[in-house]
Amino acid sequence: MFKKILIANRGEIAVRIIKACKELGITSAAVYSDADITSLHTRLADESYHLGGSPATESYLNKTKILELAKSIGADAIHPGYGFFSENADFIESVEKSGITFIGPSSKSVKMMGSKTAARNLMTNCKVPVVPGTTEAIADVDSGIAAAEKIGYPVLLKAAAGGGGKGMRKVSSSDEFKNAFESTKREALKSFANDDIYIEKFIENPKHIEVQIIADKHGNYRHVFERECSIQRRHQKIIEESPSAFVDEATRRRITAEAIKAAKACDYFNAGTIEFLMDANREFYFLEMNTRIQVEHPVTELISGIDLVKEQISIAAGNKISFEQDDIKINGYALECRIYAEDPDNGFLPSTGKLYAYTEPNGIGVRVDSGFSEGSEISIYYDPMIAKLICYDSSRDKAIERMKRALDEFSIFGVTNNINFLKQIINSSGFVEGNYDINFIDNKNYQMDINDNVLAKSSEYEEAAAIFISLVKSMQVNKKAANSLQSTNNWWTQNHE
Amino acid sequence: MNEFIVTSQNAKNKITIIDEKSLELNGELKNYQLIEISNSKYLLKIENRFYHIDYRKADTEAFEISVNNKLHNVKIRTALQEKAFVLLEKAGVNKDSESLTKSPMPGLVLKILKNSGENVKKGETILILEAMKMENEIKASLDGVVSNIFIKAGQAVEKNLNLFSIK
Repeated sequence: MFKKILIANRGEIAVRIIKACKELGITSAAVYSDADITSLHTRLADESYHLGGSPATESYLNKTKILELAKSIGADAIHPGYGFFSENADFIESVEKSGITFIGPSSKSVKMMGSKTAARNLMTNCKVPVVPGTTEAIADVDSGIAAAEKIGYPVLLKAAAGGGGKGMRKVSSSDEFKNAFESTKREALKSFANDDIYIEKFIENPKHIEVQIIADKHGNYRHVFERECSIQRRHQKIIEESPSAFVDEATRRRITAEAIKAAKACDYFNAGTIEFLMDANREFYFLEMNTRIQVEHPVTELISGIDLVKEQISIAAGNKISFEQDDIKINGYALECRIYAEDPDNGFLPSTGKLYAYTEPNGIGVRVDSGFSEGSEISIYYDPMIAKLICYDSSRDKAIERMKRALDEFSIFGVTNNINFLKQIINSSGFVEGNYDINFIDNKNYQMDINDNVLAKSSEYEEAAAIFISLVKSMQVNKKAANSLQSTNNWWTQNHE
Repeated sequence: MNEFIVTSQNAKNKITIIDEKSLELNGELKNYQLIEISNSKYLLKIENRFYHIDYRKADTEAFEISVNNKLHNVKIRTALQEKAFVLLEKAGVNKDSESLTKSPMPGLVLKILKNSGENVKKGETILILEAMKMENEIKASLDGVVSNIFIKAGQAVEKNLNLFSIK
C-alpha cells in the first residue's frame, strides 16, 4: 500500500480523499491556492502545500509544480479527484513516467475515451448502443431523407462543427425535412463557417442513466449498479439518485452488461462511469465515459456498502477488487442534492462571498460531503459547489422525506444558494412520482404545484423576521435614547424620537 | 415610538412592542423572548416556537434576515416613517426611480444585447457576463427603458460595478 498520497484537488472531493487516506493509515498531502486558505481540505490533511495564485492555471492546473512537489515530499501516489487533471491524458502520462502511481486509469484508456467521436466509434465497434445516426455529412436533401427514414423519425439535424445548442433542428417527418435541412445549413454556415450537416436520432424526453464500474489491473470488472441524474440545470446535474426508479431489473441487467463491455473496450482499470441516455421505452444509448470518480459517487456507496475511494486507492496499489459481483446487491435508496452558491431566480448565476453562518444537517441516514466551514470564502475561481447532501433510507419515498427534513436543517447565511430551489424540486409531484427527464428544470415542471404547507411556513417565518428586526430596532432606539438622556438629559428626544 | 412596519416580499407586518416579554403582531398579542448568541446570531422564541436567526444590514432601512435558514429581505420603518413613505408613494415620488444593476461578481462582459434608450421587459437579457468559466445572462429587473449602460463589451468588471440602469 502507499505511504503518502498527494491530493491534486480542492473542496469536498479533496476532503473525501483525505478521509479515506486517514482510515487507510496513509499520510495525506493537500495542495491549495491563495483563494483556498480558508477551505477545509487544507486543515484536515496531514500536510498542506501552497501551490500559488488563485487562478487554477497558477495552482491546481500547474502540472510542473504539482509533479515536482509530489517528488520532493516523497508522495508515492497522486489522486486527481474530479475535474482539473483527472481526465488529462498528458498529465497522467507524465505521472506514469515519473514513477509515481496515478490513482485512476491509464493515460491510454483516458485517450481512447477522451474524444467524443473516437469513443463513439470504439463503442460502435464493440456493439455498445450509441445514438443512431449518420457518420458522414449529408450531401443533399434526397439522401438526407433516405437516411432519416432509415434511422426513424423524429431525427435531429446537427451542424458537424456545432455546439452549445446552436445549429440543431428537430425534424418529425419527411415533409419538414427540406426546409429544416436548408435553414440548418444556413445557420451552421453563419455560426461555424461550415455547413456540414449530419443526422442523429432525436431521443424524446430522455433520462440520464449512468453505470458505476470498477476494474482492477488483473482484468477483473465489476459494476456497482446505476445512478439516475436527470435533474439538471445548465446541463449540469444537481440531484442524483440510486437506484433509478425508472430502471427495472431486466433493463438493469442489460445496461450494466453494456457498461462493462464499454470499460473492457478501453482496457479500463480503476473507477469509472459510463453515461447513457434512456428513452421512454427504456432503450439506452452511450453518451460518454467519465474516466474518474464522479461527484455523485456517494449515492452508490450508500446503497452498495462499497467505499469507492478506498477501492480506487487499493486498485491503484495493485490489489484485486475487494468484492465479487454476486457479493453486492442494491440495499435501500439514496438521493443526493448538490448545494451550490448560485441564484436560481436569476438564471443560476454563481454567487460568491463569505459563509457567515454554516451548519450542516445530520442525524440518521444523512451524509454531508463538503469542503467548507463557517468563515470559509466561496470565490469566483472554481466551481461554486458548497456541499453535497446525501440521504439514505429503505425506500425512495422515505429517502425523499429525509431529504426534505435535512434540507430544512441546512443553514447557510452570507452566500446566495440553491437550497430553497432544491426543496421546490423535491416537493414537486413530478419528482416524487419519478416523472421527469433531463428537461425537467428547463420546462419549469417543478413549479406546477407549490405546496400549501410551504407557503404557510413562509409567512410564519416572514412574521418572525418582522418581529426580530423590530426588536433589534427598538433596542437600538432605546439605547440611543438612554444614552442621550444620560448625557444631556434631553427629555425631548425621548418623547419625540 | 415602539411601533414598526416591516415590509417583506409578500406582506407588511405591523409590530408594536409592549414590554420585554410581549408584543403585538398585527394587533394580536404574542409572548416573546430574544436571546443573543453572538454578534449577528439570535434565538427568538415566539409563543412556543424557537427560531434561529442570522442577520445583516443591507442599507439604512433594509436587512437580510435568515429565519430557520430561510432568507428574507425586509425593510423596517417606524410607524411615522411608514406614513410619510406611503404619502410620498401616492404622490408618485418614489415610482420614477431608476433601477441600477451592478455586477454580481467579477467577470468579463462578453456581449451587450440592448442599447441605451431601448424598451425592455423584466427578465429580458441585457448583457452576458462571463465568470467562473460560464456565460451568465444579466437580466432586466423590471419593465422599462434602458437609461444608461456603463460598460463596454470586452471590458473586465469588478464585483458591484455599475452595469446598466433602467427607468
